[in-house]
Amino acid sequence: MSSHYEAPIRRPLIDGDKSYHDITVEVAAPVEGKANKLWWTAFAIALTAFLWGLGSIIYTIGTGIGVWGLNKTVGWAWDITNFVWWVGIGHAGTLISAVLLLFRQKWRMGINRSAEAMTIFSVVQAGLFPVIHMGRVWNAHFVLPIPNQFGTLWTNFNSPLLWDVFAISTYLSVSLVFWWTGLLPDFAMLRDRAVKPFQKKIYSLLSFGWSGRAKDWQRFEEVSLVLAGLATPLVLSVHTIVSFDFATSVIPGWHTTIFPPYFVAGAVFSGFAMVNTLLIIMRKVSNLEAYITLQHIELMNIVIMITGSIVGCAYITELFIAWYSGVEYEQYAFLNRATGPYWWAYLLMMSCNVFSPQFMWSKKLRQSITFSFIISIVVNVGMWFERFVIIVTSLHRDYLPSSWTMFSPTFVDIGIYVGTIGFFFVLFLLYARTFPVIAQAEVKSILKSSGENYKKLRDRNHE
Amino acid sequence: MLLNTTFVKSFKNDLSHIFLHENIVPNNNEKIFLSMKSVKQHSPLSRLIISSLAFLLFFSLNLSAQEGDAANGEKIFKSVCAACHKLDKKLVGPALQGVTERRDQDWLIAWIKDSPGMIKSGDKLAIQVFEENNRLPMTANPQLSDQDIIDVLAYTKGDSAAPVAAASQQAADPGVELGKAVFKANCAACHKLEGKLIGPELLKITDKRELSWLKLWIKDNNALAASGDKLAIEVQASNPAAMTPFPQLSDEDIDNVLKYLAVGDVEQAVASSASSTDQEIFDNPGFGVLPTLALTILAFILLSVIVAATTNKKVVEGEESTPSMLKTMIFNPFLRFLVIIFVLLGGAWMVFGYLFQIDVNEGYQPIQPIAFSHAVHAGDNKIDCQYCHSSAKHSKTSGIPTLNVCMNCHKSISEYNGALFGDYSKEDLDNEIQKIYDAVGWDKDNVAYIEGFEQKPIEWVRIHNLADFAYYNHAQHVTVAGLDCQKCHGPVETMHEMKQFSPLTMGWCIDCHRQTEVDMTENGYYKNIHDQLSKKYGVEKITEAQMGGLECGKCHY
Repeated sequence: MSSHYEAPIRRPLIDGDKSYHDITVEVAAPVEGKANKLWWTAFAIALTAFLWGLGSIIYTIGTGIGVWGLNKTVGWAWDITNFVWWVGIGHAGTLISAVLLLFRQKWRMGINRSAEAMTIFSVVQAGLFPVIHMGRVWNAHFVLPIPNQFGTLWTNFNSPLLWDVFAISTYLSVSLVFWWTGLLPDFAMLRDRAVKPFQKKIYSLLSFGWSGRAKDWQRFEEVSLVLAGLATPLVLSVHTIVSFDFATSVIPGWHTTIFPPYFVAGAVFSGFAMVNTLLIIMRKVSNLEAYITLQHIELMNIVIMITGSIVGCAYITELFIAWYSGVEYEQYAFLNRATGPYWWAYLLMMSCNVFSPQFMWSKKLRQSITFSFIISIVVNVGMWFERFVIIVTSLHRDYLPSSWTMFSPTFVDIGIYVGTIGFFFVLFLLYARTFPVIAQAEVKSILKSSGENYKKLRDRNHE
Repeated sequence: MLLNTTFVKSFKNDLSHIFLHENIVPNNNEKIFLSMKSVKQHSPLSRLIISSLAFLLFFSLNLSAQEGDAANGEKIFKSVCAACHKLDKKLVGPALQGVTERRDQDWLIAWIKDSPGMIKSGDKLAIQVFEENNRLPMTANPQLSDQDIIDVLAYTKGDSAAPVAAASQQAADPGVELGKAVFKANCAACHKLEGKLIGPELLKITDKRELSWLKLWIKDNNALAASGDKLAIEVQASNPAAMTPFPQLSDEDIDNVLKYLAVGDVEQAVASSASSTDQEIFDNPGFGVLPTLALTILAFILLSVIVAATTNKKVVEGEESTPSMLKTMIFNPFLRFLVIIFVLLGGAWMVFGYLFQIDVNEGYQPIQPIAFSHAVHAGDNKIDCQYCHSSAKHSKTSGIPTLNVCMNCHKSISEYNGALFGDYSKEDLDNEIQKIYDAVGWDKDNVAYIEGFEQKPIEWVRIHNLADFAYYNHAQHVTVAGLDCQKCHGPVETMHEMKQFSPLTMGWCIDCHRQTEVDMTENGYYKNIHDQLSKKYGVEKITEAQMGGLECGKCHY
């Protein structure tokens, strides 16, 4: 131990006197055990919501997009709001597993598996919206440049909506591969521990015959690093492309150069908040408090605080530029946000996104799990309203006063949104019971440098 | 190649026999194809050689398959030889039909390449041929390759059937044909060969009346009656409609007409129209899809054999059961991989092929309410397309003709006398004509429309259907662009039953617009555009696409 140097200032990332075996057992416990009543209740609720949403989707497709609250002026509202919201949430997972890996942040190891799962599941939710908000879903394949009988009629590569197709599909597939690669050693662990033949079969299939040889590990590390290197620009570009849906338009309130970084910051902000929401519950119900420690939550709170401040900065910048621009349409757009018919949405967005993360400056508050949980939800509410405000308030009043109108959602709009939340939790709850929710292989690699018992041992030696 | 392996194997066995004193199963050599037991012992180098040989075999297969390409030969013959030679007749040089049977191929090749050289060299046959052909020297053709000459020779062989068949033409009196023409031009408005029209039926009228009387009657029946001819007065009285006199017809014309009336329509000896193009396609061993596929499969099988033979894992010598060739092939991972790739590619090909033909109705040929034959009307009778489809030049829709267009001719044509087609008998086809009468209410016996008849339209089945969101204008394409009907609708004049010739997919439209040049010089509308373009950019040719013919709004609004 004496050869290892770690600053004594660093706090342990694994609490308690854990051995490698303890980690294995505790990570495998939720998978190997049986679901309790709480899980079934949550699952039932999520499934109901999902089925309700599914019904709404089928109703929409069967009847027509007119069952939504959209009108001729506001052609995008809840659909794209939810799309951007879900994509934004998805970004935290990749950020945690890729960017934090590049920055050698060891604390990511306790949370990256679930964060990535959250990415996958929320990108799936996001991916629904571009499809179901089409008037003719059955022609959705026309967005792909496939040779055809129309004189090879091609897509127009100038549209950010087409870039969305490429961005989201690439993002989902790369995230999936990244996630699955990391899962191989953990699936192998479950395979090796499985006693029931069926389980053994399943985990043998999932683990792709991982045997953990030195060469395998070497390549595993290289692949992870390369994928992290690829995923980082992907994270930045995907949400940038999503922001281009608005930024490249001519609508006052949309046509802004600040959108790409500001949307990404918002994505990280809301994504981390979602990770916090999920993990605060998960560490409790799955008895993983030793791995998802208070320090993890605090660090995530700090990220929320930083990105929240960036978002706040962007709001102020927007307001300043609107005033500074001298463009009356731009000025009116922001005046309308603050004082128009959707003032409440704007106020909600401002208070949730600008003020709530500022509480995290207080050590006492950011170390409070209850407070973190509340704030994490508040942030996601705020971020939903941010997208809503940007989309709807810019559309419902723009150049021609004769086309000013209002927007209100119908039960189908709401049903689909609730449905995606339900679908997300269906997936996440199933994941929590069948997948190793903590990357045990990675956590084991930091046990001896950041485990509480080893740290104590080291500190004693130093004294 | 197999010989080669056999040889190597037996050689190896001999060696092992000599040096290792091993017992060799006596009939081991016979099992060579099944066991391939000792091929596994080949060095990688010899395997490589065997594989290369196999691939060389494929390529030589491919090359040799082109031997004697008659189509190519025909091309060469027409460009090089036809100035002096014909296949079936002597021209400057002798007829070449069947020349390969008379002369040796190698001699022919040498002769065609350099006949003066051969004569000089003293080749006996060459001198003989030279003497036989009036000492006219044949041009040397050193530019032709051996393969070219073989192709030409194949052509002289293959084309023998066609001219012979063509020679067997019917030897009929030409007067009948001439008479038919005169009849069609002058008499057919009121008379038919069989059946009453306005005038009585005329077939075999020559048996009933005297020729001299008929001549006078045709020339001027009124004069004949006025001269007091009894028969003429009687005939005039029995027919309410007066017959037009034909003083303009010469005696010869009338003779011919009478000849024609005596014989009627002679059934043309059906010239063996197993069209020569079909024959050419058969004779021409060019590579279509199926042979290519067959060759690929063959290559695959051969490759499998090679792989199986060369990658066999070690089998202990003397072991009783050596794995069979088939087993080796089935369990070979490389072959399995190949099969999977094949299946995946084939599957993708089939799926895409299926998807690409959805809603493409090429060849659509529904049953129509009347067995209307374009081949008879536009083909045999050479009626202009726009006679019936007259709106093609004025309207966006080239309509189906109304029944009064049918009646223009079918007032006088109530029977079908052309060549039979399909499974129809003459009665069937007469009935089809009757259907027109049933729809419009025409009484063919009284040669008049039925009073107060309630007419019903004929419910034709439309074949060429574009979706309603596509705007297509016939007039623009027919009148302005001057496209032939056949360009889009195919050889309609050969179709007894109408079918969709072109796919009518958007890709098909666009392909044509990309290639078709707009005629700017004749059309006044384009004149200014053309002048300015040619002045500014030197542009002479502009395709439809460049004129905006690919804009969405041009066809889809």
